[in-house]
Parts: sequence; C-alpha cells; structure tokens
Amino acid sequence: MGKKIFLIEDEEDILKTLELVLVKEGFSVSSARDGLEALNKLNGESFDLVIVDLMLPKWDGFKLCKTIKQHKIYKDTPIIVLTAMAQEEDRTRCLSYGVEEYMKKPFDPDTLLAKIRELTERKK
Amino acid sequence: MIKEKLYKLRELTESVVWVVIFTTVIFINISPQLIRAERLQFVAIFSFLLFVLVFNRLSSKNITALRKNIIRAVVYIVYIVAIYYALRFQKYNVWIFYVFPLIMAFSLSVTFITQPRTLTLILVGISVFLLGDIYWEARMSIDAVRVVFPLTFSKVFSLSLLSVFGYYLYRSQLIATRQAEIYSQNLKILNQELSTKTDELEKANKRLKDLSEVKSVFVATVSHELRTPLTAIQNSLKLIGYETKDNQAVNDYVGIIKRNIDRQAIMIDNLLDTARIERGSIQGTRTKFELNKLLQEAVDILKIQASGKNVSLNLYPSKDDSSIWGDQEQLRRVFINLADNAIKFTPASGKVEIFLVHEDSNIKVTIADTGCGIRKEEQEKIFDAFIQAEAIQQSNSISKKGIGLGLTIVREIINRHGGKVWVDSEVGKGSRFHVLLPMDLRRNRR
Repeated sequence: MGKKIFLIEDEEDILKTLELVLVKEGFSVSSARDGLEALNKLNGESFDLVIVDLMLPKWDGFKLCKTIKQHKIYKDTPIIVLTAMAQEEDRTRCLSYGVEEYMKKPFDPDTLLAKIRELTERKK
Repeated sequence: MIKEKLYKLRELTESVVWVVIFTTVIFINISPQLIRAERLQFVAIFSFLLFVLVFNRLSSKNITALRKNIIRAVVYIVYIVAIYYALRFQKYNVWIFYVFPLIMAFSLSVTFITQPRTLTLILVGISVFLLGDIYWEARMSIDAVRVVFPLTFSKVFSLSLLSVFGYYLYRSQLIATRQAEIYSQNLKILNQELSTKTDELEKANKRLKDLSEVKSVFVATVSHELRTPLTAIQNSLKLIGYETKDNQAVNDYVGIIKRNIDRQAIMIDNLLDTARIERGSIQGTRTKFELNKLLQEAVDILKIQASGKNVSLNLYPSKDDSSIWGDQEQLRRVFINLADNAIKFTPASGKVEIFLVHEDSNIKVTIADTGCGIRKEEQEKIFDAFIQAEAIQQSNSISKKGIGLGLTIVREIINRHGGKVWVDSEVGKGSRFHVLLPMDLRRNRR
C-alpha cells in the first residue's frame, strides 16, 4: 500500500497531471481544488504528506499550512508547498509555519518525487 | 507686471513732488529781497535735501528694512544739524534757532526708525512751514522795511503748501491702499491657481503611484500566469516519459522541451526581478546558508541544459566552510544566470567550470567558460541594462542570442549584498565571470 498524499491545487491541468505522475509512482492520491474542500477532507482522513498550492480559492495556502501545522493531529504531517509566487517573503513565511519544503513552479517532477520520498521515509 | 510699473511710477511722482515742494518753498523764502550769502545758503540746503531724497530712493533698494531706516535717520540728523549750523552761522540769536532743529532731529530720527513714510512727510511739512516762518522773522529783524506783507505771504503760502502736501499724502495713501487691494486680490487668484496646481500634481502623483502599483501587480500576475502552464507541461512530459521508456527519439524530444521549460522559467524570474529593480524594491530576506550547496543546486538545475548542448558543467566547491549570510533565492538566481549565460555562449564539447575559493574575508565564485569571449570594450557594458545589450547584440562578437536582462539583475543583487561582479575575457578563448561576496553579509546590509 503506497503512501497517501493529499494534493491541493486549483489548476485543473496541474492537478490532473501531477496526480497521474504520483499514481504512476505508486502513491495513493486524494485531491482538493480549494482551501475549504481541503479542510473538509482533512477532517475525515489522515495523510502521509500534503502538497499544497499557495494561491487557492476560498481559503489560501498560507492559512491552510498554518492550520495544518497548528493542529494537534496533523502537525507532524509533512507539507510541500508548490507555488508560482516566487517571492522570498512567501518562502520565509511558509517556512515560519513549519512547512518542510517550498518549491517554485515550474518544478522538475523528479526533484519533487525525490523530496516526497525523503519526507515520507523520514516520517517512518 | 503692469501693477509693478504703476507702483514705480507713483514712487517717482512722489519724488518729483517732494523736489517741487522744497524748491518752491525755498525759492519763495529766498526771494529777491534776500542778500547773496543767504541765497547761497538756501541753495546749499536745497541741494542737500535733494541729495537726501535721491539717497532715500536709492537706499530703499537691496537693503534690509532696519538698516535702511537707520541710514535714513542718520542722513536726516546730518541734514538737521546742517540746517542748525547754517542758522547759527547767521548769528541770529533767536532761541528757536537752537531748540527747533534739535526737536526736529529727535522726532525725525525716531519717526524714521519706526514709521518712515507717513509721519515723516507730516514732520517735514511742519518743519518747512516753521522754517519759512523763522527765516521771515530773522530777516524782519534785519530789514524792518519788508515786514508785513512777506510774513503774511509766507505763512499763507506755507499753509497752502501744507494742504497740498496733505492732499498728496492722502492720495498716495489711497493709491497704496488700492494697490494693496489689487495685490491681495492677485495674490488670492495666484493662491487659488497654486492650490489647483498642487491638487493636480497630487492627483498626478497618486495616479503614478497607482500605475506603478498596477504594474508590479501586473508583472507578478503575468509571471504567475506564465509559470502555471509550464508546470502542467512539465508534468505531462514526465507522464510521456512513462509511456515511451524505450523510444529514444521521443525521449530526446522530451529533453529538448524540458531544457526550454527551464530556460523559460529563468526568463520569467528575470522579468519579475527587472520589474522589482525598476521599482527599487528588490529587498530580500537574509538567512545563513552554505554557498557550496546553493551552487550545487544551481548546477543541478542547469545540468540538463548543459548536457543537451554537450557542454560539461562542473562545480569545484570550497573545502572550507562556505556559509554566508544573504538572500538565498536572489543569489541562486545570480549563479543560475551566470552559469546559464556561460552554457549559452559555449559551443558543443566546450566546458563550463564553477570555482569557489576563499579570499581573505570574502568568497570568490568564478564561472569560467570556453565560449566565444567578450571584447574588452564590451566587458563593462554588458552589465548595463537593455540599450547596451542591444548595441552589443548588433556588433557581432557575441552570438546573436544576445544577453538578456540577466547581468543587470546579477549586478544589482550582488551590489545589494555588498559584493562585486566583474568579467575578464579573451575573444575566442572564453570568459571568466567573478563574483566576490563578503563572508559576513550582515555588516554590509543595505
């Protein structure tokens, strides 16, 4: 049974392709298209890793990261932030919430996969 | 302008009137009955008076009000003293000859310091009237024959002169008041114009600010919008890779697409940075990090590109501690830009090498390539923005791919880190770009 990854991304094409890549690599993937949907899903399930976009409708990625990292159950779930906002301020802000990795779009899928493996292994 | 001319004309008229009045008074007083010596004395006094008037007019320019009044007072005291001595010289031992000039001197000097205009005119008028009287009385004692008529005449004449004087004074005050009104009205209009202009200026300023805000938001949005599709393309390429594991040709094509995505991503970063530099807001966050590691990341990003061009890309990290304080994101961009350029200008089977060495309290990173090189006269220019880059493109020592915004950004970022970037190069053999960064960048924080 592969690791469970929660993917939150509002861009349909990125969501679809990345989901496929992750499935191909043997992960099981659950996805959400906006922040509120993500919060709802988080309530019922648990994941090995969360991949989140920063610019999300309804409830943005920053708040989501902060919420997850402050939650008593989820706070140890590693988070990878994927963003098209390339400002250093955003990076620092995310890292201050305790986000494990911050990656800029476009990213190399291989690098992302390596990072995912590293983080999920480490958790074990 | 016209108002000012009018005002000057009025001042001139005033002077003329003064002169006319004094001349008339004095010449009436020294009418043919006077002896020659007396007449000369009056002429002397008259010319002195004239001098005073002219001096008055002249001194009213370019001298501060207080100094001007002091000068006036001194001049008038001298004048009064001169009259006093002139009278004494006559040897008419009448008490008023002594007392009157002293009173005059005192009152005139006081009024000139405080109220140079109106009161002085009145005082001078009175003194002229009295002087006329004194002289008639003085002469009366010499010559009893010419007593009755001239005395009356003198008094009547002096009185009428005084009334003319008073009228003139009133008129000039009136004109001055009107003038002041006109001035204040003009001033009001000017003020209104000024405040309208200020408002306009403020609005324009705000518009400019808004525009620049809009522009930066726009650039940020554009770069966001440009990145998003690239991500989808990249993921799709990965997916294609699963399907065509054994198809070498397709894999090659995928490699080309990947390389170009990377290049495009760098260009988007540059675009964003250029906008920030233009706004002067390329501030970053300083953290401590390993320069070795950062350079390795840069090399990792560019290695697909290098191998696609069959250029070897090697990093020779420092064996010592390479940690420095700086903006990681920005410095990564610096080295990606420099290495990317190096790869771009190096022909197939060439090599790009990155060295990291310690120099005193600095770290020097050298990016050396075996590319086409840069002519001496172009070596400074390549760091300047846009226009020069275009000029260099036209001269053909550098391949027509040209230099983008990369080097301008590189220099800006390095400057902000208190460092230095320069190039030495030989045409045909290659270029070496050097970046010197102080180890403790906190001290050079700007």
